[in-house]
Amino acid sequence: MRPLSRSLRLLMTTGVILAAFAGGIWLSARHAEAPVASSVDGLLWPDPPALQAFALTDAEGRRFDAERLRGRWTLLFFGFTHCPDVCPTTLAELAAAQTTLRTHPRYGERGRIAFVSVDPERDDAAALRAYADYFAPDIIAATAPEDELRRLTRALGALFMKVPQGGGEYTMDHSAGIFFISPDLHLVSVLTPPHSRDQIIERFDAVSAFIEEHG
Amino acid sequence: MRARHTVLGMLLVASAAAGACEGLVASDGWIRQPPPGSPHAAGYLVLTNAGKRAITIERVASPDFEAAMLHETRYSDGRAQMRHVHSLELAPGERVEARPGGLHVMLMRPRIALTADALIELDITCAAGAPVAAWLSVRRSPPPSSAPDTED
Ligand SMILES: [Cu+2]
Repeated sequence: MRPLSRSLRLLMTTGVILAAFAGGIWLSARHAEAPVASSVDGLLWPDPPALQAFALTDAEGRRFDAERLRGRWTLLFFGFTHCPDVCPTTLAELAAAQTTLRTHPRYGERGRIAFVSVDPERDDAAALRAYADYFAPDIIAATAPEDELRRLTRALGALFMKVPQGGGEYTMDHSAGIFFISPDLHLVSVLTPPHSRDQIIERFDAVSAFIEEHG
Repeated sequence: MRARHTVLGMLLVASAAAGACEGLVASDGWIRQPPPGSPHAAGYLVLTNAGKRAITIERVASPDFEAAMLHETRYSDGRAQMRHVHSLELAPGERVEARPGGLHVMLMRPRIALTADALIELDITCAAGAPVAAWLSVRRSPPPSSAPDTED
């Protein structure tokens, strides 16, 4: 067999496989309920990941799990109290956004900001409470041992990592997006940093409007 | 103490000093008041090289903190990474802005109470020169000129 016809045959075979594959996708799409197309910026749709089971401890010593978030919108942010730049900047913007969102029909009084520390080694309940209170007293602040934290971050596609800085100091690299969790416990949007209150409000309004109608 | 607050509060500018920092102007300095429970603070300022020669900032220090260094927050895949900036070079005429979510002065373990409006001394050392002092005022929220940068 000459090299040319051989590669031609390979090409044809590939073509047939691709066509079959595309046909399969088309068929399965027809069988599924036609998904509603979304033009909402940053919306994770049509398959927003469902929140998996996790159990952290909040700054009041209570269990903080998915059930605490059911029936309310949650804006979740990972950070740590030894983080002087991104964390206070984002939490200040979140708290300012929340002040406005309290009058939003879909956020209302039930909506919550959740601050999850990825630094359980240094962030005990007292440190977390003091830190969160500075921004807004109703922020849920929580953490857990690393393994348990990983269950939550994995479900949200978030990451964190301890990075030594010399002299026994360390910092934490961490996903710094704002995670929008719907009242039926799906991750429906991630707003990437840097953040401003206006962007947070805008994203919430657009995303929650779509989810309320189609979710 | 009060006089120091008012006079320097209006200036907030490092004296353009002799030595290797010659031409360096530090302005609009402020520190985000750290929430209780946080032993670290971040300082922000505008650094301008008003001189004719390149300036290399090699070190920062503050008598009001046990340790200080230049840091940069970078984003990779939505992940924030805070890293030490070992030196910062400013070409003649160049202006570098330290602002939330980017370049900042990492200030560790304060020796004084960081009450709002307190003024913090920051000593900037350039290659082979005597340090120049800049002043940063403690604020609860950013001045209008230094809102978080959401343009990029
Ligand atoms: Cu830093």
